[in-house]
Amino acid sequence: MSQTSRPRSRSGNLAAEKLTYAAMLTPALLLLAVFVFIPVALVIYGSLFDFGLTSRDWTFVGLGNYVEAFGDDVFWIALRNNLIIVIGSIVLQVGFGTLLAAVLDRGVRLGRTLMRTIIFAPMVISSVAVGLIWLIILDPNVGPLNAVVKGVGLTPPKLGWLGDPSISIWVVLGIAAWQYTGFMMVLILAGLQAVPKDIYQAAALDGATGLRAFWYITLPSIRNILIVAILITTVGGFKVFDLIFVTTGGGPANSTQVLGTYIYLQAFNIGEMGFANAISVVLLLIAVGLGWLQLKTSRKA
Amino acid sequence: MEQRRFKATSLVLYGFTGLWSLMVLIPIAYMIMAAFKTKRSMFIDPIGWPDALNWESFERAWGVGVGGFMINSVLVTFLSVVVIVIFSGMAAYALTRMPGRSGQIIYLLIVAGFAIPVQAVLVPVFQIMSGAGFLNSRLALVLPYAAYGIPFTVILFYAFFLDFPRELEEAARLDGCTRFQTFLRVILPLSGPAIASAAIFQSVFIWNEFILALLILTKPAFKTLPVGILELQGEFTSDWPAVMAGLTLATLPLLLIFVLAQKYFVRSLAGLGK
Amino acid sequence: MSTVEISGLVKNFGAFQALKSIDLSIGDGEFVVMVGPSGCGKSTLLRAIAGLEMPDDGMIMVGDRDVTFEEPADRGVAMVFQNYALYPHMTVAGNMGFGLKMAGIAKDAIADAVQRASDILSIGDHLHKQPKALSGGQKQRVAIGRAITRQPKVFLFDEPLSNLDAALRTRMRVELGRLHNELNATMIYVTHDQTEAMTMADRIVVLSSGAIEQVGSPRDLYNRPGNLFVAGFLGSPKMNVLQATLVSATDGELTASVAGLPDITRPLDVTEGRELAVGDKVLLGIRPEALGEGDISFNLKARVVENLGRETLIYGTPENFRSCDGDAEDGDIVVQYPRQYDAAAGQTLTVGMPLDAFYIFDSDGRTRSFAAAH
Repeated sequence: MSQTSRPRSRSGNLAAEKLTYAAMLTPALLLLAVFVFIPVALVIYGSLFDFGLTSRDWTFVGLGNYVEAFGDDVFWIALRNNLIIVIGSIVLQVGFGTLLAAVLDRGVRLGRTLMRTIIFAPMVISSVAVGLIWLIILDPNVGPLNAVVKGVGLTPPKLGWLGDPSISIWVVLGIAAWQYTGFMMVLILAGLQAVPKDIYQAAALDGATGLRAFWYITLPSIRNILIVAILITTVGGFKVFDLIFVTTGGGPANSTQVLGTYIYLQAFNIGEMGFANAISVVLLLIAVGLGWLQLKTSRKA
Repeated sequence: MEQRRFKATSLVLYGFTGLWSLMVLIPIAYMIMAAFKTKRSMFIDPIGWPDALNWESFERAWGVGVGGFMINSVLVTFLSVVVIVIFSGMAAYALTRMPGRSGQIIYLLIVAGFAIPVQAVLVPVFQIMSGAGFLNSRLALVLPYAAYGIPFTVILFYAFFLDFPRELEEAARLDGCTRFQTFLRVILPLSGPAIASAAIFQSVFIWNEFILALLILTKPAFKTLPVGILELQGEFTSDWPAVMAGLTLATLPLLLIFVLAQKYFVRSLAGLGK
Repeated sequence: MSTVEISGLVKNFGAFQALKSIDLSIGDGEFVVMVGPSGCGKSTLLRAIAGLEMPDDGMIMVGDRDVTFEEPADRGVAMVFQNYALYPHMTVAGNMGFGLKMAGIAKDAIADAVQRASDILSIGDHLHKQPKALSGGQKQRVAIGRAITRQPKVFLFDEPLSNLDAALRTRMRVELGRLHNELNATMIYVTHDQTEAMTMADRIVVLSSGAIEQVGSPRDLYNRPGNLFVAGFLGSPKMNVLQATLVSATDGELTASVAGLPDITRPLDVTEGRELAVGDKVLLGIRPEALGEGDISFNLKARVVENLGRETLIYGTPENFRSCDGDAEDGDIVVQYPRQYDAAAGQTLTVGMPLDAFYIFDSDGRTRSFAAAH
């Protein structure tokens, strides 16, 4: 008798447990569904239509938006600018971040915390504020940079640092490096501090000190963290928006347009929501691809 | 000889980090300095010191509503972080304790959500928010903020809960706690470091969030600091000292908190590499 | 206080059979110690009694109540964990009273129960401290106090002393014995330490690969081990085991011949088991402490001499015979003198051997003859 009733009470226990887990998961999954997963489906669906910000009629255009995007010069400029920012940021932020971290880890002792705090500080300032500060510093009329450049006898760019289409994207790249190199430095410093110090002593006995120790010991031992840093920078490079929106708005003449700002421009200024969705899908594919790569490398590590 | 070489190397290394620190410091210092200058002295002598400690720019900036923006930011950031920590904590705990493989599968789904940038789903998120009548609602803005903060926080808590000593939970079960009571009375009180780390990271992120706030909050009264200070630029077309004063008001509080608690900030953000 | 009745208990972890149909009756107020090598299932059995593992089959009764699928807190059991498992965010008093608080007991009653338990363990001075302010021994005392506060029918201990240093372990062992007498409670105790098992248990349960090998009083298990596994598991250093051949099995007597020793004749104590025939391979066992003086003597070339003060262990190679198992290395044996003994490695000693101190195990490992009591 009891043999038949007891298994039921066991599954009763399990069912109660399952219900608890489901209840604990629901709020998070609900939010993710509404603001991440459903929008992903909508962005793909919407990319097949022509529709405006407020209009109620959606015209099915198939892959028309994609054809339009791939034939659009500005789309390619935006993609190229994203790539410039990605590669440039890897060189500047990860590169200098590594150097700064290495020096702070083993090169200097006095003032280490102070310098780390200062270099990291821009990370807690919003990109909007960073953009505005630099906008003023680089301003052709009142900016202190021009005053300094003129003061040492050089000529600043005639159209302004951000107004000259041939250099503006590089200036933006520099501002981004100003803001984020400290973050990379802290990330890499955490990795360096996990490297046992005695391998440096062993390396010194083997004749590897200074630069050679950096090359043969330091870099290989933080390989995984460097990969993570490069991936974070890459993802960040494709997501860049605030800084460009504030400093140049994508101009002059679309010279600093990136996918993020172009999506915003098309959707909310021009009102080409379907076209913006098509570009979003491209950005989405890049982001998911990079995310997958990140997962794969972190699994391996 | 060795000694001298050592000194030279050390000088170069100090020079390098010192120069970078200076490069970071100067724009921030300039922001504060320029806030005290007058419009006139800005034009005549951009790099000169202010003639006097001149608080008028701060008054003008405050007049635009920096105080209101700040309250909005505090409100939105606080609520979002609370929601993120609670929802992520519950979800991560359930995921680590669920029997079978379903926990791992849902975890992967959430990790996938981490890869989706808001820029790529801007149009549908705007449609959803405006469709639900959530435009210009600070409380509603908390929902997408929470959604985008959850994946990273779940990942952080997941690792923490996996390492949590099982014996404590078993002791709690023997003491009569249900799963949820165990979570509430034993796990949460002992998750201080993980919660602090998550809260700091999300606070910095949400305090500075721009693009969603730009889309959702269009009425000045509801704006958060990042969109609010952009208003300064439009308001004072050539009043750069007022813009700088506004920026100083907007950035200094978090900068000060950061300097005071930099150890925790650094630990929190460095955890991203793991 | 309560009995515990376990019948047909099965627990599988995937393909691994952790418990293979366990039957065990524990009497009211009994102190039962479960021992066995790691992975034998002793902890799983304890956790199943606690309700922390759901069995796949079988039944657990506490008193006359079937608790097999009850929640841990509803079973009337309390558990003391190896790593104390004290809640770091609560005071000592908070830790001890938490179970009662969850059960909805009134504050005053909880305070009384905590006070009573702390008096028993003399931890009254620590009640308002945080666990991190306590030493390991004090923490374990609080963990035990937490169990006492709940006034359970059955106490469960999961290797509670293994994180303490040797001196403290001895003291806590004595204290647990006192506690058992004082509370007169049913206690089930898991350990891998045979000293704990031998000193504290009313009965010892020896487990191996998910099954019970033998249950009995400590002396019974030591003197009359049911099989080679139990004989080898209890006693340190281990029993010396020699290979032998049965040369006679008649009239309730077994005679075995070992290369290099005279024939060993012992009464057939256990008649159950496989049919014994002349020519069967059997094993002879002799405990290290049984050697030293006796009927015959043999030469032993000492390899390692461990002088432990109270006793002396000599690991060496016998001149005429070889062992096949034991704590000494290949073919060697161990001799334990219950006193200090002057010897050095390399020296050849003469060691006495009583011929009635041998156990005889059949080829299934079952004990057929026990050693004579000395």
